[in-house]
Amino acid sequence: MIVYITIIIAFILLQFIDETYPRLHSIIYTIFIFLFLTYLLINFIIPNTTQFISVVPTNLLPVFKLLMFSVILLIVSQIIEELLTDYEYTSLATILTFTTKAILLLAWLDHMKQFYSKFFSIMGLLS
Amino acid sequence: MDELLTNLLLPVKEVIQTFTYILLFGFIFLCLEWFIPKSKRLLKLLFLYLICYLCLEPAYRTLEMIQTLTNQLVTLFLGMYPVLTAGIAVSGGALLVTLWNPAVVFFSSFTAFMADKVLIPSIISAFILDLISRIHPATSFSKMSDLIRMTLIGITSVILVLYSFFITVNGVITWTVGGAVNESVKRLIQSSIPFVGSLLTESISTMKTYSSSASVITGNSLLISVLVLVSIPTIQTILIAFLYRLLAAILEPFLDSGISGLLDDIGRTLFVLSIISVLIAFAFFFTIILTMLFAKLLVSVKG
Repeated sequence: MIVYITIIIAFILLQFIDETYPRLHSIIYTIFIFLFLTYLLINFIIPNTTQFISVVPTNLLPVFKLLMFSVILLIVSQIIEELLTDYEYTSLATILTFTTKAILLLAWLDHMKQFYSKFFSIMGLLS
Repeated sequence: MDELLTNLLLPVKEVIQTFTYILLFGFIFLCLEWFIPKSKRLLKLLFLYLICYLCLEPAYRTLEMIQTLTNQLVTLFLGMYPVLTAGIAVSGGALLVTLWNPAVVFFSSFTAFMADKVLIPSIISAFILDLISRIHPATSFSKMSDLIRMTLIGITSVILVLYSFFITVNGVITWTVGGAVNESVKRLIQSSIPFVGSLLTESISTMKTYSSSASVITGNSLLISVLVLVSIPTIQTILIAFLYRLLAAILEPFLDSGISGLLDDIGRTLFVLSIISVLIAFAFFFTIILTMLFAKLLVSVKG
């Protein structure tokens, strides 16, 4: 509920700033988005995810942690990417997307080590 | 008996656990796709990876089990057969030895060697090709893996025919179960086990013939226990293969066709592996009987 109220109040205030100080609007909007995102992450997403992870079976915990990390990273990067695209910083948005994909790939490849070591051990029996 | 049951039922437990995991992750990924529709492709790939990561464990273990068994058996044959043959000859049981065609000794060690060096590596390659075809459908090797499976079934059937040929040459065929019962059981196995059912019944018949000739020397109860012991890996492999196909059938309406197809392919490959494990069981059974024969001869000479 608090998120809806914050968004409505922020929308009204941003409209008000857009009318009174149009030059400041974009910078205030960007600062607000980052602050709001940090607030959401610290107060809602991270505590709820931690609580959710505590009920997951131990053997599935590493996979769940990685999955949650990937999902949060994807959501955050998509929000920032849209913000950058809005201000026509497309190159920066592309770099951000590329970095996110690289981080996800590296994290999952690292996690897959156990899987492909088993795979290679079976293939190794071929020789 | 308890340990035997636990060993046999362990794969069932594992596959049920896998089924729960797949359903759980299926639900989670469905939610995630709804949350982030932009990354649908990435999420699908991650889901497929998780399925491979969680589901392949029993299949891997079965492959490793058969591989280890074969490996050990080949070493055993190379060390044991010359000693055994010489021992039986020295014990003065030359007449009994004639019951066992010497070519069979060579043949059974050859089949174990072939299973170790050719058949099991081929089945592993079929397994890997299936995996690649499902993970990346653009580079599909499904026809290749089907060809490998069919060739393996062909090779195994030829070897089994040769086994039965040896027995016909020796001319020792007696079996106590009535023909009608025998035939109906055969039909049941043929129809309920896909791909390798008929081959399996033929191999069981061949093993029965061996056992009837060996029971003269060893006694029935001992022979039955040996038969049960050597058939455990085969039964376990068939059980796991069945469970994989069952899992694929249950999950088909809920998940992507690629995932149920992958599970189905793994099931088919494991069925072929089960028929290869019959060859191993044959060779193992034969070695045990020969060792018992040797012990019996030694005792009779001393007595």
